Amino acid sequence: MHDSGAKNPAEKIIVHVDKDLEDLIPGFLSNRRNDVASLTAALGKGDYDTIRVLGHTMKGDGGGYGFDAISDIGGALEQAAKSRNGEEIWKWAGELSSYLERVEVVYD
Amino acid sequence: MSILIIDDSEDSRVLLKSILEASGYREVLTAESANHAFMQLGLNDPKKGGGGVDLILLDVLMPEMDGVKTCREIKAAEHLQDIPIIMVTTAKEMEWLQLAFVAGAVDYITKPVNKVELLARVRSVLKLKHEMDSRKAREQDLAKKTQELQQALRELKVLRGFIPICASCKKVRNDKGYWQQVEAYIRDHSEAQFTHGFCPDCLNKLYPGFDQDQG
Repeated sequence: MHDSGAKNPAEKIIVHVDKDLEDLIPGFLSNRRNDVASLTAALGKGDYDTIRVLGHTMKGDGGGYGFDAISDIGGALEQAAKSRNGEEIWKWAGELSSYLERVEVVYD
Repeated sequence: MSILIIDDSEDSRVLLKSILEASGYREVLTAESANHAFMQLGLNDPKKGGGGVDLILLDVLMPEMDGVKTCREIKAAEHLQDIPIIMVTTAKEMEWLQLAFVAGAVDYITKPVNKVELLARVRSVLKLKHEMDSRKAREQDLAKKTQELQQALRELKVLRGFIPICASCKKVRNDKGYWQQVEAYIRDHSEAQFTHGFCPDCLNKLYPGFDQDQG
């Protein structure tokens, strides 16, 4: 399972995922889209604890589903929340949103 | 064999359950929190027998009650203490792991979960659990048989060794130090029974002129 990185923002990101997980992927990605909304709302309220937990959870779950990039973004969000860095949080929330728009899953 | 996954992340529970079930584990239960897990395990209800759970996969960082405290609570319950616990943790939570091992966890896997690692660890721990359960059952059986044997020995009536007997009246001194009739002693120490009669000498002494043949 791996991500093929893309420097062009418009370019698709192909992720190869174990076929056994095919039924689970739509639900996982849907939850991540919900996370983008939750992150934005939490940032607006200055709720860094919620952001930290969201980031931590993403960090732990992403790679297991085949999305290493989501684990990386989650880790970065967690760190940004710990240091209460709103700019970093905003940046990584944007990264997550962009990634979710561009990701295309191939089941092997 | 039944496995319980305790994790506040729904995605994590779904993933672990999917991997385990695809690998042939039919009974995979999930709990979203320590308290939910305690209900399923019957923490305060020993009659529930641990809900039939053979292995617990336990997330380290959870709200309300963390994995280390959860592990400690489970291990403190006598009817649950033999259930092995594998901690599920991210790489940066190693200091938590030390506490978890002190609390009674037997192994750990890291997040993001690697399917091969997960299945290998689960297989290994369940094999060990099965062996321990078999050994425990054998020990209980042996203890029961030993008890039965000891009881049988107590009831066994055997005459052996030196028996103190009075040279004059032929009374016998028993195990408690009391002198008793020889018949009583033999009855207490064997399965023998007595039929009473007279030997020729006593018959002649007690009933002189008694014709034995016409008896």
